[in-house]
Amino acid sequence: MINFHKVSCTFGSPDAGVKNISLNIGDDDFLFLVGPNGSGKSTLLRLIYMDCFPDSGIVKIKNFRSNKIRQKDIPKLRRNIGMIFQDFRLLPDRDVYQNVAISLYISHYKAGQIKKAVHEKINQLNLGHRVHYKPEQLSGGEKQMVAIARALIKDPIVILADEPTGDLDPRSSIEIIDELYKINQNNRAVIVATHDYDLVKRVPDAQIVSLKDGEITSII
Amino acid sequence: MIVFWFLIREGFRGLVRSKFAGAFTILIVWITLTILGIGYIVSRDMVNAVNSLRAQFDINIFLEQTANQQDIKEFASHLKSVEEVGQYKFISKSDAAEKFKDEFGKDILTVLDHNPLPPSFNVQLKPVYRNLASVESITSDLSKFSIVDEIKYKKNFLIILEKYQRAILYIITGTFLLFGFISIVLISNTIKMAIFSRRNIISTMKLLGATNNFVRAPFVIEGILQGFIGASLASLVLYGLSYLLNNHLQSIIQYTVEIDLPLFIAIIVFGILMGLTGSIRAIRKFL
Repeated sequence: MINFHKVSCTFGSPDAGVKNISLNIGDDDFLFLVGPNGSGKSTLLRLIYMDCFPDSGIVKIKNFRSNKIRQKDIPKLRRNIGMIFQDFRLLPDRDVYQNVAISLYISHYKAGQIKKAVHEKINQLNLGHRVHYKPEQLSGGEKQMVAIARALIKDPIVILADEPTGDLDPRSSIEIIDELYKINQNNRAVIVATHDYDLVKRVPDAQIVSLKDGEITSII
Repeated sequence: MIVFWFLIREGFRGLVRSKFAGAFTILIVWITLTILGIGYIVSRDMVNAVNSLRAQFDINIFLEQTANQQDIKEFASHLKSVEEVGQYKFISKSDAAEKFKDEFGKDILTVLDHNPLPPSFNVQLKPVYRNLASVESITSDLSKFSIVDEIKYKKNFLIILEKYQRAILYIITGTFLLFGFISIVLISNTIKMAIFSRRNIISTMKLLGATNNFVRAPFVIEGILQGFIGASLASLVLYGLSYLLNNHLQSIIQYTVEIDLPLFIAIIVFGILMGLTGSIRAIRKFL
């Protein structure tokens, strides 16, 4: 489903980005990108949601190809990708319901569908009692759960999580990884960038791609 | 449709959220349109005053003493055919003597034993031709007639009038352009400040797959609302000032202000355009 073919993206500096990456990610893979800061984990994720483009090589996500995609098609690609960030990226002035619903408004869903789907997803992630809370009233773990709900609700082909547990305590981190694993068990690809090796061990059948200085050092 | 209403709602929410920056934008639109409105009313009345002065402008064509009825008749029919001529009046020698008596209180025949006053035509041009260039061209043509002895008109009056009218036009245009430009720059900078504080929201929306139009729309709606509110306040102030002037200050200032519905509509439309232009200009940097 996601294919990196000899991809280099260095942002004009030999010490940054990724170099000559070739990687295939299947429809139901759980993949960890591990490595120290600056190893290229986030760059690989950015290449998937086309926030940056390869200097050479091609990134292919379903029918979207990095060398052919038009600027106006990038939003369409992103509507097929669920994204989770270390800093949650929730809208601070909206409550939980609105933060989750925004994804569906962007994807032009109908009003009735939005209400039903949001409540279902919020309850599924045990956030029902927080539905009218603003992000500032939530714990770190709850915020990340809202971000997961927002990512999941649009039924994406893949979930990208960039250091999703970076700002969380160990218990919340485990909850988040377990939730992502559960999502993966429902036949959805999940890619998690992290430098927390303990978390990697919680997902038994995950693929682990180790990166260093922008290059893949091992795939387990 | 649901997206449309969502974006409208977002625009209103943005207006409430922007607080200080939003209030500042409204204030700028308000002040600018009040000044422009006053400027427009004053300049409109000045132009009207100049035009009413111009309406008094006429040309006197004095004929030869020897001009006979046939010559005068032919000349009159020529005047009738001249495009620029609005109306004309023939003043015979005896009419001129009457006029002399009215103005000086003495009969010219008793003063001079004969009537030296020539027959003449008093010509008023159509308003659009009451300018120096047209007048000079017309008088030059008319002076070619052999029965025309002399043509008189207030050339200096026309020169001064045109000078003032040009000055008024320059001042009005300059003021409008300057204030329009300054306010659009100020508005877009203020909106830019407001958008800057929400740049993370914009980038999140884009990561979620929002198109540029989806991100832009609430800010543009917010700008339009700010322009509308500022313009409405300016209209209220102008109405209040005109009411005060017309009803309570007539004894001090002999000036009646007329404000009609088209002016209010123009102010509102201008305010909306200012908000629209300012917000489109501001959001461009963040997309």
